[in-house]
Amino acid sequence: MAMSLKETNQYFTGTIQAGQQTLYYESGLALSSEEPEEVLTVSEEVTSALESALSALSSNIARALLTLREIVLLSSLQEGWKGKLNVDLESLLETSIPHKELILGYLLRILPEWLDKPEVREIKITAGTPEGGLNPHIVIIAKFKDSEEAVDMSEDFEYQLLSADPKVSNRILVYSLFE
Amino acid sequence: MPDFDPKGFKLVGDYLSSLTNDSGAPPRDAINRTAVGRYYYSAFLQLREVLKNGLKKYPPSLCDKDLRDFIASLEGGSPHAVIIAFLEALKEEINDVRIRQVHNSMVYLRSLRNAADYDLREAPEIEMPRGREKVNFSSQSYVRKAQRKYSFVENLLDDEDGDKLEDIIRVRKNTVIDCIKRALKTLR
Repeated sequence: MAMSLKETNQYFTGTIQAGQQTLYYESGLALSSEEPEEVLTVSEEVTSALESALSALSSNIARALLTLREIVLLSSLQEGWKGKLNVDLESLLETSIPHKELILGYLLRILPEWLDKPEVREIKITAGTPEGGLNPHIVIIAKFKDSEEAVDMSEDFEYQLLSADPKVSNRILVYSLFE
Repeated sequence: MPDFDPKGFKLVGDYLSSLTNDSGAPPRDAINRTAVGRYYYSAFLQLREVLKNGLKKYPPSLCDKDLRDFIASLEGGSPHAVIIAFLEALKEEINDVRIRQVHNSMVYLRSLRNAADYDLREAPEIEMPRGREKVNFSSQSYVRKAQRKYSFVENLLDDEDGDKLEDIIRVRKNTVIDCIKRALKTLR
């Protein structure tokens, strides 16, 4: 395989000889077996910006898919704990929160243990911005049996939510209620 | 006469919550509603004083319009909202579970206090993002919970082991100024 490249102003052009075939190359474009009729110039800056945009887009799509996966799993958990776990799926889908997939993944890991406790009456999960707040949060409303032990338990629950990785804990708000 | 120490409100809350249900005592829900409010105000006023006193010591090079507006809002504008917004901005900047606990505590205590003082229904409701939830001020659990929330604020103000809020304000001036700018957005 022979290859030649020449640098013009801000881009490369060249040919690659592979066996009988000659491929024409311009920076940022796919290889082509046909000689270009007119020279299309794409600067390295533009190519780099397009590549960055594409990379950001694909990473956003990957994150959205991960978030969707966690929401589906949370919905399945809700099915298993009908009446005790209530997830506001609409608000979770609609509200833009950084690292939402990590927060939901964390909730999925820790919630089953808490849902299993008789002192926990109900756990609601929604998303929104508190009055006068700056940013939207994942909001956990935990309803406990009305007892002295339940107050201690609610503190343990809150600590577990607020002491995780800051990407997770910074965007969680917990309200403990007693009934 | 010395200035009033807002820790006194916390002591009133403790005193009220220790009252037993003897005949002649005020109704339990009235005691609990008052106690919850005292814990909130004690925490809020202590935070406000530490912020005000710390920020007033900033060098003139940092005293821009935002800082002056922030101090003015602490002294009379919208001090409740601006303190909570400041804590929210601070928890994003400094990775410290105590700050997250204090932010969560102040959001919770403020909702509880608003319901305690203004919602006279038998089952008052606290406001939260996307809805309201009923609370029962006849239950002692809400007073215990308010005590715990207060203790997180006290811990950040008086901590012997870690940085106190006062130290954070003194040492991390640029971070604090950034947080002030973000907190002011809630008012504008």
